[in-house]
Amino acid sequence: MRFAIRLIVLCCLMFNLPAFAILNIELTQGMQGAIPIAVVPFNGQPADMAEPNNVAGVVTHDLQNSGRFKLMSAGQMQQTPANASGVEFSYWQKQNINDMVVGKVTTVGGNRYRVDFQLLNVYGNAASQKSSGPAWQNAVILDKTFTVNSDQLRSLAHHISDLVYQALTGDRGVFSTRIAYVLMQRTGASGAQYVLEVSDMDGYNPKPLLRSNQPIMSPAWSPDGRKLAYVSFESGRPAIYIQDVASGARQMVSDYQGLNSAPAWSPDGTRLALVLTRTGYPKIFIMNVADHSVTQLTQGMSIDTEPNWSPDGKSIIFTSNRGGGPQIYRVSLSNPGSAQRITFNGSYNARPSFVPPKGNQIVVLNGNGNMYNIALQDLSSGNFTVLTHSGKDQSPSVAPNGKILVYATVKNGQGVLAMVSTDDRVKLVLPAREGDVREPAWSPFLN
Amino acid sequence: MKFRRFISMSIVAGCMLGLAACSSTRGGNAPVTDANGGGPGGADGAYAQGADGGAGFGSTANCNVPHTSGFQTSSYYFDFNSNDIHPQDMSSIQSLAQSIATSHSSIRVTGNTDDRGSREYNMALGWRRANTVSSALQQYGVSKSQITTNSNGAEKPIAYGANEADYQCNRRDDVLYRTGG
Repeated sequence: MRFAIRLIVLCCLMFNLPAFAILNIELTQGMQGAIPIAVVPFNGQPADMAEPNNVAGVVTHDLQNSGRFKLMSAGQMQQTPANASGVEFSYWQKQNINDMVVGKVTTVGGNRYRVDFQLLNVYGNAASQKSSGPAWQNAVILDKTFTVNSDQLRSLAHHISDLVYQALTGDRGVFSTRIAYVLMQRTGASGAQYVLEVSDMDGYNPKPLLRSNQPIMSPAWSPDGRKLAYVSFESGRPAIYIQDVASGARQMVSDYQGLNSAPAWSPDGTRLALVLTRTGYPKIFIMNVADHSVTQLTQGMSIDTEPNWSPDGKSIIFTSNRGGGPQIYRVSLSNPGSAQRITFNGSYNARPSFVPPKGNQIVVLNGNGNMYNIALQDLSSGNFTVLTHSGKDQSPSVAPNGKILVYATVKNGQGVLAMVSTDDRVKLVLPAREGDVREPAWSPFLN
Repeated sequence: MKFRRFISMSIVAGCMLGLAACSSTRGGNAPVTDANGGGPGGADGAYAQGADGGAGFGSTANCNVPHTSGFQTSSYYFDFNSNDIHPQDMSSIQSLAQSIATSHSSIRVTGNTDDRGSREYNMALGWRRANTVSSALQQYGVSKSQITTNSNGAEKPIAYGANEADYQCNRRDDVLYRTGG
């Protein structure tokens, strides 16, 4: 049975068709005041909105799962216009929606499709005339045409979601990004298989990059989204590898005696912060990616680990127990002796990362008694907000727009991924079909 | 695979029934390998009983520490978020050190943590735990060149419950050494 599933996955990968998702994405808490919107089934596509290449279905799913939109059900739509000129605005105004997406998919020969879509403000046609053309022209917010292969329809749909999201919220969408994670499945009485995978951010198109019967940890995306650095125990002890996501080619870059841990790329992609025990103690080092040379950044006998670069590349935050328990410290690369403690809420703060793009906030794993949750700290005000509440949360990774983060949690005894918006208003869970999923890493923008 | 698993579970069950022989020397001169090493499922048969009682070293805890063929394992346990050796373990570490120093054999010290908190921090904490016991062994006469230290962090738990008894089993160092001279 397992073999059959693998075979199906393999076939899907080989022919580059969208494979079924290992993860499903489910919205568990949307936002008050979400924007009411209708995504009308696209002319020329089947009515089954759940079909993986159904453009309107994917856009509906994306916008729904962002938590910032309230989607009108396609089943309630008594009209299905394909473009603005065919829209009866009074009908849509009565449905209490603000905006609508319409479009059509046309075969243009071979395996190619032309996709037209428009984003309309349902009340826009009543606005003062901005042109001498027909009134519906004033309702058009976006009007775009694309030509793609059939296997690009789903990624085009994510792109349309990004455009709609940005036009209506002002924030850049992350529907075209990906996540890396580690899938762990128990084998036999005591063994386990670990798979490093990359999937679309909605869990579709999972692609295995590495299988091992030893642990895989801490995947980290290069800033251009083309490579992953990670820790693999495949040799029996930890070593750091860099792997090209597209080709699968990889290289071991750090295999010093002791620990080789917690790789983090500099914003310009030329350096890797990592943890080595060359002095006998876990310390932060900086590796030049071009020649693998390393220089020690932090000193002393404490544990220093989990480095993360500020967006300007000038400083690093990390976890250290130099003051007793684990807390977050910040050190300037130009003045390595100057590490300053920056977390003070609770006895345990670890795994820090800056919230992009500005880096004026950080997310951490916050321990309070026996509860481990993800928290957000504003660096200027010091405001500290605990965002998650299961008590078993780990490994936060922030989306490149800084609006949402993915983390690992436990649900019904199974390791799963979940998401929470950095304003604490939207929550999602990504239940896995099999195994335990952990160590998520959200990619940078990929286009 | 299923059959091997059955055999392995039978061995475990047999040991649990008090067959002390399980914890004594198992033959062979296998090189020091990771307890979970080898091919997929290759270590199935190797998991018998915790060796706590076997050699007379290590602190007592009712934990099912994996056995590695050809080796004895002594385990030392830690408090949450701490790499301090329990004072009551020092005499055991001293006896173990004297035995190892005499035999001149190489040993491996591997630190482990429970799964609470951050994975990478736990990896570092496991490393510190391994180093603490390594230092104590050196203090009692073991040569540094005999010792390899390692950390599994929270990645290789031997108990899976979200309770203090299981957390305690995972917060430990395993010292792996050859039996006999």
